[in-house]
This record gives sequence, C-alpha cells and structure tokens, in this order.
Amino acid sequence: MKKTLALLLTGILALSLALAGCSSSTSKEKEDGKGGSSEAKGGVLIYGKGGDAVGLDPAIVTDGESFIVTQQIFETLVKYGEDDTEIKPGLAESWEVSDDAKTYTFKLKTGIKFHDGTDFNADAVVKNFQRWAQSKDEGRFAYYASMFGGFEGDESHVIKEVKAVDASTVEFTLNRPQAPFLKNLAMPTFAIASPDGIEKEGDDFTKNPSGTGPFKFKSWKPGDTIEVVKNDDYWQDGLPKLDGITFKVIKDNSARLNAAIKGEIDLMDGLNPSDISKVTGDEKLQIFERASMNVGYFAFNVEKAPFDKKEVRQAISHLINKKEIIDNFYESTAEPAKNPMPPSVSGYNDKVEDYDYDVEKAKELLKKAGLEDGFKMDLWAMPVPRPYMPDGQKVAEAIQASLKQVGIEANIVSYEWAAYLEKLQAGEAQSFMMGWTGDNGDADNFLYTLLDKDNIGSNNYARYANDEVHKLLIEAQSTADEAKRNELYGKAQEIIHDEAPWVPLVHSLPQLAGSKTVKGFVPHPTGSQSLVNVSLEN
Amino acid sequence: MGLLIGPVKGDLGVSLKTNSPVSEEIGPYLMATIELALIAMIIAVVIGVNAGIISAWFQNSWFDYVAMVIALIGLSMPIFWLGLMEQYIISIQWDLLPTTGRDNIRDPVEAITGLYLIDTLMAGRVDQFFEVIKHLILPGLALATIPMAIIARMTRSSMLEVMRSDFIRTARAKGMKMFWVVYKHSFKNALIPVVTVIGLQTGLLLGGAILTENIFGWPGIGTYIYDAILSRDYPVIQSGILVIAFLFVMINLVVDLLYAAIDPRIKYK
Repeated sequence: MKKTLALLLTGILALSLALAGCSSSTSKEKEDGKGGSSEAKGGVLIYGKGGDAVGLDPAIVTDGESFIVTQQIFETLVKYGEDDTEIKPGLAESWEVSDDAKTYTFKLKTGIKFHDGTDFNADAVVKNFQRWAQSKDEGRFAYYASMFGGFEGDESHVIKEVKAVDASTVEFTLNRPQAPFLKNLAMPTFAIASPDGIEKEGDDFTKNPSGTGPFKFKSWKPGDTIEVVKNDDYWQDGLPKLDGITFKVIKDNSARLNAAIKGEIDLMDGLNPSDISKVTGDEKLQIFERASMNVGYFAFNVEKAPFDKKEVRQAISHLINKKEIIDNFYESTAEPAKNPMPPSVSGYNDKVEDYDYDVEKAKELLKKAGLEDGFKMDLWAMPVPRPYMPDGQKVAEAIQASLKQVGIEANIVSYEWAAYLEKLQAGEAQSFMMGWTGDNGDADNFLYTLLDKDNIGSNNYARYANDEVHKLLIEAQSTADEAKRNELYGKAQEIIHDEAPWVPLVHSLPQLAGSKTVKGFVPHPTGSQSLVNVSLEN
Repeated sequence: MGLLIGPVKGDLGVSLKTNSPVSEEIGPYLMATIELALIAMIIAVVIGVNAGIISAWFQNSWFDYVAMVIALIGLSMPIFWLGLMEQYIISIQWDLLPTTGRDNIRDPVEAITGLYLIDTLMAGRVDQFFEVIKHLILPGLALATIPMAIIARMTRSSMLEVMRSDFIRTARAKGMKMFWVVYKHSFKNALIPVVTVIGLQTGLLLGGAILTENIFGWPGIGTYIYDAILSRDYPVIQSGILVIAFLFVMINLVVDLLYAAIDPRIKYK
C-alpha cells in the first residue's frame, strides 16, 4: 500500500517538475525575444490599475480609470503642464482672448489626422462641441453640463457659439466670462474625437474610439486588459517612444504590487503607503509621487461662538502639529498645507507663512480673546476614509489632544457620511474636518467654491464671508489674463490666511510604483496623463 | 412580463454604467470564472477525496490527524491572505509561477471561446497553453482550499461509515487486497454524499470568488457583479444573479442524475 502512495507522490512530483521546467523555458525564450525587440523599438509598457475603464469615449465617462486610457488616444485643445495645471498648447497652437473675456479664438495645428484617417480641423472641433451642447443629456455628458453650466438653451449655459472661422481657426463666444474656461477645456473629458467615428460607430464609439492621440486603440478584454498601440502618423516627430501600452486590471493593491515586483507589470498606481518600504527596498523598482490636487482641512463655523473671534481661530491654528499628523496618519505621503489649495494649482501663494506650532503664542491669543481658561467645543470628524484624509477619527483625536494643552475640551462628533455632509451644509457643526479634490485644477475651483460668501449653504461649510475676498474672487473670475488672476488669488489667500477660517492640514500625495526601466514618467495631479514621453530603457 | 420572457430569449437588459447589453458583456466574465472554477474543483476533488479516503483508511494515524488539521486550517483560512502569501512565496521568492492574470500580458491569448485552455489549443499555441496552466495554478489552489477541506472531511466521515459495514468485512475476509476494498467497494458506496458536496461547492465557486478574483487580477463574474453593486447597476446585478442561479440549478440537476449512475438502486422514471 505504501508503494502506491509513494508511486502517486513521485508521479505528482515528476509532473510538476516537468511542467515547471518546460514552461519556464518557454517564458525565457519569450523574454529573450522581447528583450531583443525592445531595444530596437520601444517596447510595450504594462500599466497596472485598480479598475476597468467604464468606456473609452472621454465625453461620456467621469472616472479616472477611463481617463488614464482615453488620455493616450485623445487630445484636448489646450493641455495642462507636465506636473501642474498651467495651460499649454495642445491641438490648438495659440489662442487669443478678447478684452471682455467673452471671445476665445483658437489657432489650430494643421496636418493632424484622426486615427480613422479623417482630418482634424476647425469643423471637427465645432462638431464635438455641438454634440455635447445639443445633446441636452445630463446623464451622458455630465461633465459638460457641470463645467459649462448646462446645455444649449439653458440660461446658465456658458458657451454661446462655437464657430469655424476657417479650416484652422475656431472661435468660441461665451454668454458671460468664465475665468477657468481654458482650464476646463484642458480636462480630459473635453478631448476632440473623430466626428466621422462618432457618426459611424454611434453608441459603440466608446468601445472603438478614434482620436488624434499618440496611441491607437487596439483591443479591450473587459475586466482584464486594454491594449493601445503606437500611432505611426502621430504629429509630434519621434513620439510616442513606446510601441504600445497594455492596461491591466488588478484590483487588490498588494497583489498589484506583487505583480510589479515580479516584473509582470511595469507601472502601477494605487500603492498602499504601508508598502512604500517594499518598493524602496527593491533594487528593480522606483516610487513615483503624484503632486497633490486636494486639501484636507480642519475648519471653524465662523458664525458660531467662540469661533466668530479671529484670535481663537488663530490660536488653534498655532496648536495643530501638521508634521506629526502626516507622520502618524499618512505614512509621510502628504505635505503640510498652509493655503486652501495645493501648490500644483496655479495662483498658489507660496509667500504665505504658515502658523508655526507654538503653544505659548496660542495661549497669548486666547488671553486676548478672554478665553485663557479654555472652553468646550464640538469637533466633527468624518466617518469614512477620503483620499485627503485616510482616518478622520484618528486625526480628530490628535487635534483633540493638542487642544487639551490649553484647556480646550473638544468632544468628537460623527455621523454617517451622507448625513455628515448634509449637516455641515446646514451649518450645524461648530468645528469640523473636511477636504476637497479639485475638478479642473483652477484656483477658482478651490477658493471661490469653498470660501466665498456666495457658496454659504453649498460648499462653504465654514460659512466664511469676507467682502474683500469676495471682490477679489469675482474680479478674478471675469479676468482672462492668467498673471492678473494669479495675483488676485494670491491676495485672497493672504487675507484668508490671516482670518483663519480653516486650518489647512495636508495635501495628500498619491503614490505609484514602477520598474526602474520606466523613464520620463511624470504623474499629473489630475490623476491621468498622456504617456507620450515615457520610454522603457534597460 | 418582459422581465420573465426577456431572459429566455437571451435578453438580459442593458447595463446602466456602460450602456451595452448585459448578455453581450457577461460572456467573457462567465467563461473566465468557469475555467477557474473547474480547475479549482479538479484540484479540490483530486486532493480532497484522496485525503479523505486515506484518512478513513488509516483512521487515527498521523496522516489522518495531519490531513484533518490541514482541512480545518484550510476551511478557516482567509483567502485574501492565502492568495497574497502564495504570490509572495511561490511566485516572488521561489520564482516558479506568475502572480496574476490569465495569460502572459506581453503575449496575450486571442480569445475565441473565452476558455483560454481551449483557445490556445485551437490556435495551435502549445507554449501559450502551458502559460495559461501556469496562470491557473495559484488562483486555482487558493480557490480550491475551502472546497478541498469540505470534501476531505465529508469523504472521510462517509468512508468511515461504509467501512464499518458487513460487506466490507466480507470483502476483506475473502482475501481481497485492501486497496481494492477501499477504492472500489467502500468508495463507491460512500460516494453519494461526496458528490452532493462537490456539486454544491462547484455552484458556490461559479457564484463568484470575489476575493480570489480581485487578488489574482482575474476578470470573473464575481468581480463583474461586485462592481455592478458598487455602481448600483441594477440590470447587471439582476441578470448576473439570474445566470449564477441558473448554473447552480443546472449543476444540482446533474448531481441528481449522477446519483442514478452511482447507485443502481436509484432510478428515475
């Protein structure tokens, strides 16, 4: 009997050895074959991500997992800078803005073709905008509706007319000035698609997209991989450097890292902060840090005592040790915040000097406010992890402990997420933790949305109202000159800093990992970028 | 009425998220799951049944104890932990098998039927066939642990019962080799509860192994429905569950039919 068992075990062992042997030899051949070709060409980059794309028509999707793919296939009229939201020429090589900031005239690059062979020109741009504006379908073109105030015929609609002046000139006429207009146009969702393709494919365009980008769509295995290949007729000489990109879905963050360690994927997003040491300890891997597009903050309801007093708010600003919070709750993957918007957004005022951590100064300020014996307050903490705040409860506890040093007793309050937001909006909280991730990388999207008196009852949860700030923000909205706008936003940030309706805590920095062979990759703060300049080098 | 008649005609509704028919979308996911579930069940049955038989045969031996302790551990093991450990030890440390996916991403399989084992053979790519097998082993093992443990324990108890019966004593008394007594006489009679458990477990595996799929980057139906739940894509949730329920019922039907083949006393009229 033992013989049978022994025979069985030997058999299994032999089989597994044979299998391992023959398969590893085939894989070696493969690698050799690929290695040879990658030097000559550029190789195929495997990009591991956490979810599949919803669709590949950028106009109808709203999620980052789709945009990271569409950014390879499509291009926008203007685009963001490499690692900030400065506006750079894209499909439009230059543009002019009228003095009243209501007319934008774009000069388009010529000689560009869509992947389906049709010409990119002013007509194509007009047709794209008509498709969105005339659809009146908020379910489908959600971003268009929210960034440009609805659709054609709506009272709040920003774009009055898009006109092709000649084959390479497009003129946008606006109903009213919109300061972030160019930044909106740079959003991946407003990429120019082939009108022919849209017409021919209809609803299937989202599965068979055609744009002007550096890569052409090849295949899509749902839930698994999306392949794009080099566009040989790309308008920028010598680009893209890669032969293609394959996007592979691996949902679990740790499993994705395992695949990267094994070399099955070249680049991955969504690295767990706790896994950073695994990457830095591996000689074949490197870390990429995405610049932040968000802010996590602790704010006061300035309508409620004692936070109606500026001194109290400033005192508490002196009491919060941001560095400690970052080290303990963000695994050091965040930078301390001093302004209500991240440094990657143009208009950021770096001259503002943050309140230093100083208990004595805080005591002094409280004395001035007549509260040297401390007081009781409610501190609201969010119940769910957010990109800008991985653990709201714990951070609240840290703040609670800091406040205790000067005799302030903070009582931590929390509600279910939807209720939390509703109550904040209604102004029920005395002080609270919140955060914001930018939509289009414009200062307006942070300062006006979060701190202007127009938005009390909406996103201005601190209920902060300052007429001077309001004047600056409104002026910035109707100014088309970027330098002038940045100056206005800079001033607004100074006032906000002094008035301290918020204690800006952190800008969190999403982490990515990749093989050391990956060169030229700069993660963009918006979460998706073209990989046109990326190459694989040994 | 449309809800009732639609599925019969192959109309499973339209996904709210992607705007395309669920009946078209679900195919590849289903095939990926079926391939993985079948491999997992083969591993679970081969190892589980044999472990159960040998444990019963040498009851209270060291093998019995070790096998049953392993079965207990297997039953209570968190799959995501096991999966990550497999990846870390077997693929990264020992460098034997790939960590994720169904095929080599750098040399993808051309999908025809969606069952890659068959597709690669149809395309005449033997190297890819072995590549696919390599990709199946780790997720197959992870997925097989729980059914394997259940099958082993069920086989053991069922075998113990049979081996105490009179006809086994007779068989041994007439000098039959123990191996044949165990594998032929006892096992055949112990098979009915085992087959039932195998059927139920197969049905459960088809229902989606969300954790295994997530960890091994496997584009299966569990993930498909899970994503649909997160994005409130009701047509996908409904149709997905309908398809799984249908498969579950079919497998149980097959199990019922198998009873007749196993036990001549059972006849369907």
